Amino acid sequence: MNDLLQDFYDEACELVEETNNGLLTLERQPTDKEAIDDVFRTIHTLKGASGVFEIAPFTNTVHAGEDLLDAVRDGALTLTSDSVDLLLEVNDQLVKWLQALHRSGQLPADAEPTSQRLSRLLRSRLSGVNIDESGGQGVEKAPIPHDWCARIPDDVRVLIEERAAVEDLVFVRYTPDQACYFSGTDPLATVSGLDDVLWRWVGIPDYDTHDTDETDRDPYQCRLVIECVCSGPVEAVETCFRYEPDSVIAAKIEESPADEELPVDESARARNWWLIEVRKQLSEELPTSIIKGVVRSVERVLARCLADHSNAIGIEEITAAAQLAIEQSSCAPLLALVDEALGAIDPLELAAFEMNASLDQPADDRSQMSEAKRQVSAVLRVEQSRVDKLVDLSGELVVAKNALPFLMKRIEEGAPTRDICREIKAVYDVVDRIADDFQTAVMHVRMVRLQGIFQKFHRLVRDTSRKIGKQVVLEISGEETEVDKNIVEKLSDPLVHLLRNSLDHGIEMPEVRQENGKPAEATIALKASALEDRVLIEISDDGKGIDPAIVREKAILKGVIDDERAAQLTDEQAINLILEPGFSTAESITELSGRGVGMDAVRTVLEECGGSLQIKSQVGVGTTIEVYVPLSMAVTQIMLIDIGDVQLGVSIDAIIETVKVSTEMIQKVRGDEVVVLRDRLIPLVRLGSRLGIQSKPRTGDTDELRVLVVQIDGEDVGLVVDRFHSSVDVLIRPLVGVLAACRHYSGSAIMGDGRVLLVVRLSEILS
Amino acid sequence: MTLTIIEKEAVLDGAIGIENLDALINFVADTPEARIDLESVTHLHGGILQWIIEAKIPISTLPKEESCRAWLDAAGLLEAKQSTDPSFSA
Repeated sequence: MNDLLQDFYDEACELVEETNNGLLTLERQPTDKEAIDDVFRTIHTLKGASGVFEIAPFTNTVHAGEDLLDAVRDGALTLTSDSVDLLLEVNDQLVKWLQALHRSGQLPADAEPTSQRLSRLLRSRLSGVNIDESGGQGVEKAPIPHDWCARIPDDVRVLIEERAAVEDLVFVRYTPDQACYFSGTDPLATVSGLDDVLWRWVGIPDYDTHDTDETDRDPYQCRLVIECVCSGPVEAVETCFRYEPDSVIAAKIEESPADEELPVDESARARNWWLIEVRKQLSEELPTSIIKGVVRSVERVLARCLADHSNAIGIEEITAAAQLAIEQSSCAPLLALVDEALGAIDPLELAAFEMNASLDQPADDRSQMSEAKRQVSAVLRVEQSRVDKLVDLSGELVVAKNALPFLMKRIEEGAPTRDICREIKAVYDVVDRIADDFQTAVMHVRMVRLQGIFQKFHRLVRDTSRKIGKQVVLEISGEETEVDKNIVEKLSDPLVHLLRNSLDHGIEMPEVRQENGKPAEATIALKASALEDRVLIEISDDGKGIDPAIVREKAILKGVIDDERAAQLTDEQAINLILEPGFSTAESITELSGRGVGMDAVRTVLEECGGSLQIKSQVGVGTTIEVYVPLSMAVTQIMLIDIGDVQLGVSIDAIIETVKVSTEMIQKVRGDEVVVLRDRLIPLVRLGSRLGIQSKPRTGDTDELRVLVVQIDGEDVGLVVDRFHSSVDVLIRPLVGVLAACRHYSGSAIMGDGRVLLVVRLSEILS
Repeated sequence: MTLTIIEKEAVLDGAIGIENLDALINFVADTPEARIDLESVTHLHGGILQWIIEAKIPISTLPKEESCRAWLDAAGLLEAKQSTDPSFSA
């Protein structure tokens, strides 16, 4: 994939995601004008970006979606849930196409028919909004402007209308980008690509009406506007302007264009819209040369608008005002007529229309897009300050390195050993500090906000709840919390599973909730918060909760646990049995709940990235699942322990304390060794025997055991080892190949002296 | 493009690209009553046409090239010349 396409892929993925989130916001708050504008701008930008590539089906589909949103923005259409469904489906298709582009550099073979189907569906929602449904490649296909013939001489206009009756003619209004000269665009050359131009006009709108000193203007800023009428079809025009789709309006000229531009069944809303538009046109200071054309055009529009609505203003009055306007070379008579018509309309209704019109802001104003909306992807965006920090540290490292040759020289010169040792220690301290700072800075580079994955869950919850007939709102908080990018990526699937479980098993049907005195709409809260060295993600619902008695019963039934053990468990411990392999509380296996392997898989994935989870639930009130993950996977602190001749590592996160216990303190409860530490009964586990390693206590240690007290799944356990050492920072790599089957070890690390160290997986050993 | 200055007239030849704009602006700035001869011009860049319109540059001779002439017509410059130059014939 070339760099340009890669850049497009990255940007397009973000834009699609932003559109998804915006649509979901809009669905909840359909009148949120800022949300409407945001979504429109995003999809408009996506259309523009795609226009650079030869991916017409992609661009056409996005364009159809943009038309729909444009109608929503203009107030001509209300965004319903069905329309949101369709737009989300379109976005899903766009993602598939983007993935195909990423894989092969081209769209799949069926892209064109798919695009046509989606575009037809999108445009079918635009009933009442006059949009040309012919295929497009990104060129603006607005209705033909009501002043389209304003500049065309009468004789040419007659000719055009005659030809339009028997062939495709297209009106084109081209407003090149102001900076187009710098990008190598020559507007005249672009238009020269059109076939059979019947009429053309080029001008500078302000120039005609302002008697200013034109020499002060920047000659390199394009201010041209070009209009022309050429042979169709519209597709040919689109091809000509495929690199500047946003700069062009192309509309097919019908036999009687001014009549055709108005829907036959004109609604009052459309009438108001046209009147306001016409008034704007008439209020402008128009050059005398085009007044006649404008008047003729407006005359037709008014005749259609007003005559169809039983207005007090009749055709005769409109014709008379138009005639007077032509004679006086002034639009004033028509303007008075329009004002009279507008005066008869409810002022509140008009105010609403004008408010919508005021939303028409520059479409590609990306600066308003929040940087916080970046999603997790193969591209990592880093704040410059974090990179600056790395650069500073690298500079410090270079300076520190320069001390070493100086030390070597001192040794060669026979400096006293004591002095040399002191100086080496000083240099080491400096390098050590820089290395620590470097590690911290590098870790910060890879820290990303959870927002990227959290935002996707709005869609998941919406779609899933609609599918299963439940009413659920997702409340997200703390999404600005930062975690290592690798962990964020691993978190996505487990969180999806937990949310689905909550939707499927936790939340009751609306009628059941109401019977239980709860609101029909359930709430799932997804909350992230930063702890000292970990991040806590809580998924809470106000559903039916988990009944520990049922869990116990099923655990026994499925052989997960025996009767005796089940009776000993607290309710919280019983609830956490659902994390055991093969357990499922679903009364029936559904598409969502899977087949009872999910929660075990979730726990395994979380543990692989150094995380854990806890379940808390109250029957009838709801369930909270707490997911703990480390801030970073890059470096882990472990404690070194010896069993016999083997040295192993234990994650420092799990260790509560290290104690030496006299053998006299060890007691037996039901055959198992336990020890009482500060009034707590701690079961003991001989780690050597669990791992099949021969223990070799140090000489003189026969009456004393070294115990590592760890906490697993909320339970304290004492691990008996031969020796323990200090903690070290290591980079843990997952086990691969044959070793990957060794469930007792979570990974390996290479020590400073080159030895390979295995790190034990406590949850597996103690299960 | 070739640009030949003959007294107060700049005689242009060939395709006039945007890169020629500076030279033309300087010529007009340095030459009172400057005018341009477009007779041998085969293509006019949009930026040049815009400059001609805005700076109201007098055209002494219109281009022979039809497409070039069509653009001047579209800009109303043919009509303007017709009205100010009695010897003009379209």
